[in-house]
Amino acid sequence: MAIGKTLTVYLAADVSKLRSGLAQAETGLSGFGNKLTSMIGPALIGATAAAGAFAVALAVDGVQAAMAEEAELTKLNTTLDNLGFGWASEQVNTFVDDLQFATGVTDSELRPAFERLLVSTGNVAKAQNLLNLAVDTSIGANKSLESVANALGKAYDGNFGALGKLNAGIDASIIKNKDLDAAVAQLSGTFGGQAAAQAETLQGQIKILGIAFDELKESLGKGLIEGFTSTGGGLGNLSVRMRDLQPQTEDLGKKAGILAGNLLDAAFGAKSLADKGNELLQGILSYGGPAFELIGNAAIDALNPIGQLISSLAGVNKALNPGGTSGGVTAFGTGGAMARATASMKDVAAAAETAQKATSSLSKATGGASKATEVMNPRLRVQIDLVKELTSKVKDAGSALESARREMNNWISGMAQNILSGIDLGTIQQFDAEGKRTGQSLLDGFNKQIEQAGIFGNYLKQLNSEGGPELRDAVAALGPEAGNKLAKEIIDQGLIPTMQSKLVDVQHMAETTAAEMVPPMLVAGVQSAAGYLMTMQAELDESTSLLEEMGRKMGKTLSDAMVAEIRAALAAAGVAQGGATSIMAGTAGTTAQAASQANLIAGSPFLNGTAIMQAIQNAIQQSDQRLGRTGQVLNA
Amino acid sequence: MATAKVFDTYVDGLNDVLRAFRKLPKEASAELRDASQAVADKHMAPAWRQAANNYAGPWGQVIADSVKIKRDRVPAVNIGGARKKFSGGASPTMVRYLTDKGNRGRAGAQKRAPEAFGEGTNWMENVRQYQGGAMEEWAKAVDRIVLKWSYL
Repeated sequence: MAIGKTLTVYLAADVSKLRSGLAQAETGLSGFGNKLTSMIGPALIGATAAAGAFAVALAVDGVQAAMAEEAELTKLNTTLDNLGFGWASEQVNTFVDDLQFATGVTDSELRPAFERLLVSTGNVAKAQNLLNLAVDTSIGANKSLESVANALGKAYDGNFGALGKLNAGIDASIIKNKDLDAAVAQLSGTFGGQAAAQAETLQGQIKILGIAFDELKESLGKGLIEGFTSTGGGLGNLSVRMRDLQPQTEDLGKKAGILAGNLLDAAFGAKSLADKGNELLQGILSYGGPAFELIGNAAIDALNPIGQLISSLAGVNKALNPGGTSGGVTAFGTGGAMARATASMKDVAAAAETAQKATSSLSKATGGASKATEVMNPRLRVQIDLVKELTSKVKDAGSALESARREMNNWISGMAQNILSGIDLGTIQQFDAEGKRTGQSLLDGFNKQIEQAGIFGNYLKQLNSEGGPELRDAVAALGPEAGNKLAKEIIDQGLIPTMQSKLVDVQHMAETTAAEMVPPMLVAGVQSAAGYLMTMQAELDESTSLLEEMGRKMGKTLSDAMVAEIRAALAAAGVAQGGATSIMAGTAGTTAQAASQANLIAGSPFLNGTAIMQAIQNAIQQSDQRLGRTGQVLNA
Repeated sequence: MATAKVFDTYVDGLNDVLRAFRKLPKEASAELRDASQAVADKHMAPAWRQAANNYAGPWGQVIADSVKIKRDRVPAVNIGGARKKFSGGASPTMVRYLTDKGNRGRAGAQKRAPEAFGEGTNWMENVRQYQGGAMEEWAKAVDRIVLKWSYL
């Protein structure tokens, strides 16, 4: 805050402004941290636009990741088949999956390494043991897993040169004698347990969380691809079932965002458990304190059900941290710890300096971090359980958002229809009753109708702004011809406030009267609907196993917006699906574009109406230009 | 007018969102400015005025009076002003920083902070309670405007 300048306080700024000041601290975070930063924003842009856009972005990433994984898996499975180990493919995949979570080495690195070792050993169990050793050695000797696996594979083939060049401390005599068992024993003695130890460090845990997030995205993308490609069988059945569940599970993209948010909480919660991690966190928080506090507040305030979820998450975290040492989840959920952090906030430069110092010392902090992670592991497990629990909790939020969106779409559709109701080519009078030309061309008649629609829209805006929605809707229902005349009268006579007030009163009276006259059969219908909803709820509860698979299958139930976006992504990747590609031409490059397109596609039933409206607006503008008008309200 | 900027919240992708507004009709941006002004008027300005009044000592009233709503696409308020408002010729801008940081800030370090300000009250760092409501309201406005103008 400079002296001598007027201070401008902005409610929000792009995170790039934060990044520019924290560039060094940011680079201290692993890849997962960077991914997390990219999630922070969309969660704040509100319910409809950003959640959808974020979900779209997540899904596109997920599809790409899933496609890459599919290719890797196919390659490995083919090798297994060729070597006669096709039966072991599932076991191998499980092994690789477990190993990546145990060591923090990604499956993209593990699979080729395993494949290389399998080719040499010709034995799945041996290849697995050697892969464990290769992972330990690569971490301990700071070599790439590929080079270590390659060296071990070559050694198994009888070529010890590469193993010697690893400089992993293997006796020259062992190399010279080509004694593989001795080499393996020495490497095990030297590097055994390195991967496990590394995984227990703070960096290791963050890396594993990063893998978990990547897997989540892959699962999402896999579900989407399967959603597009499955034609029957088990997947087909599941798809059908999922479609049945769609009312409850729509907008799963948003839920994916929440899931990711949970991972974010977990990551920061995890970091906060280590002293140095906490120092880093505090450094960052004190710099961007208000921002992070707001994340919690906005989530709670803007999306109440999600807010409740975050609150419950914060509560659990509080229980997990009775000493109150965590500045992570609690801070995000309640703002309480954040408030303290904010209160102790120093000026920006000092905070940035703290963050940078903390970053530089983070890498040295493995000792304390290891102890902390002993405590952290069960907490991570709890976090995973929480993520599972999340599915049911965010369901309400998703459906509430969806119904709000639908309601708005309906309203827009209805209003557009009202405005357009005067457009009717059949009513354009080119001939009089005697069949003689009236002098009015078809185009002129159509232009007049368009003009009426434009005027009607302007009247409605005025009635809405000066009166209220009741008056606007009442006039809108009349259509352009009668509506324009009435609106003009109302405006000319200055009756807008009076009419609005009386309309509200009469509507209230009508609603009260109508409510008293609701026939019993309607009441029964409502009860029946409630029963139906309860049945669906029960069905959803029974489908727990399906819901657990949702991470993998959630693409199937995503909104049409996401589907269209993914089709575009698939088409770009050469997996043309047709259909929506043309609609999505020009992939959304920004959040708003994505949101806009997502909304357009999600509201595809109204797409024609939208196109018509745009065309009519263009026509009105052109007409105005031709006639030299400026778009002001014209008398009917 | 020279201004210093501070930000309550950092939102990833905000620039993209604002940039995308250029592709919508001008009315959309105008509507966003209206909405932002309303949010600032409802949430930000009262909070800053109240904080200045309560915690900025004898200078608080003048600082509070200097809080002005800025018309921008993002809710914002200006605090301070260059006009002389105090008997000694000081402007709100001159005293704003000192009421906050006192002799703990740069002026203090350079021995230029009048003793009357003491250590300051840090009042500017505690004016953040409005953020949740303001951000919610503004985000909804963004959604509503984007949705509306992508249809109409």
